[in-house]
Amino acid sequence: MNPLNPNEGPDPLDAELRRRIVRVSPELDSRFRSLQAELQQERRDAQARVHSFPLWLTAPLWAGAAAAAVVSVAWLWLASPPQTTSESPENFVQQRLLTEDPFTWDASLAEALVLLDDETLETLLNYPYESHL
Amino acid sequence: MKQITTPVSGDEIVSENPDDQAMLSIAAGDGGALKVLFDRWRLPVINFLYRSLGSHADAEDIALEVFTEVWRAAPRYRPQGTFSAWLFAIARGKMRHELRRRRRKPVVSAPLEFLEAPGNDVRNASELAEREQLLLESLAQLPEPQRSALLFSVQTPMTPAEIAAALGVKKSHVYVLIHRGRCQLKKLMEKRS
Repeated sequence: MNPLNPNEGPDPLDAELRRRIVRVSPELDSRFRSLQAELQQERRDAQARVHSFPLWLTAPLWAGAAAAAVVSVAWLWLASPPQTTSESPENFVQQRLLTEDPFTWDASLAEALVLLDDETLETLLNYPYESHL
Repeated sequence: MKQITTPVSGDEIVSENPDDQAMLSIAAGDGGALKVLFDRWRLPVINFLYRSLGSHADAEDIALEVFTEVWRAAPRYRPQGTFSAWLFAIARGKMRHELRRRRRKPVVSAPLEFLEAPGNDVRNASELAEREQLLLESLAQLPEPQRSALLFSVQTPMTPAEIAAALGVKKSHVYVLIHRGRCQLKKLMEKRS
């Protein structure tokens, strides 16, 4: 049937195109078997190579990567040293809490909070800062 | 039918398609599964390559290359589309590479004992050989996408959506390619005969 126009009926060209090869050369099967054996051997060899690969050969790569990471971290630290406060932790925290939205707290505030004792921290955190914002 | 699953990026892919199951077995190193696929698909693949290349011997050579690629690509195969579209996309790629490699080569019809005349074709052998040669020469004149779309539609069990996937075009474009290929082929055959 003509797929583009089913009412047209069978197209004689289809008979020509459908004439197909129904047999293969006698040697094709043996060629395929050789190929199959070759491909299976190839995969076994590849797996063996992976398993027998001496991992210590990659040691220089890992050492290089580790050194690069250390240098990067050191450079970042030197380029942006942590903020320090000259004032007491209590004053610093209170000042920040009074003037800033809690969602903008940064690492320096977190560090200051750690330095406070529990009682001072509780006092500061219970202070009604909202009225000052 | 038994389902086979394979983990892919954290997801489980489930396939009941026997071709997909064979591919998963091949990925696990089962050479017998490659033989199953070869026995199932070798004639459709050889037919497509023969009509595209105009050489029965080359078609068998390239078919072996196609199944080599199937084996090597099996670990990366994901049963998300249909196997036939994937397989014929490989076959088409190999065919195009072969056409580029060899430039112009005269087309030669396969020995008649390899060919089946469909239906009640009672023409004698010489007439059949002549028609086959005419068909091959005319097909060789078609633009490759038209020829491939036409051959896929007539010679393989692929749906238009699968043909579109194999050709890497939209489904609507497949209909256009088939229609144009068919019209052009008729003209070429009439002109040559």
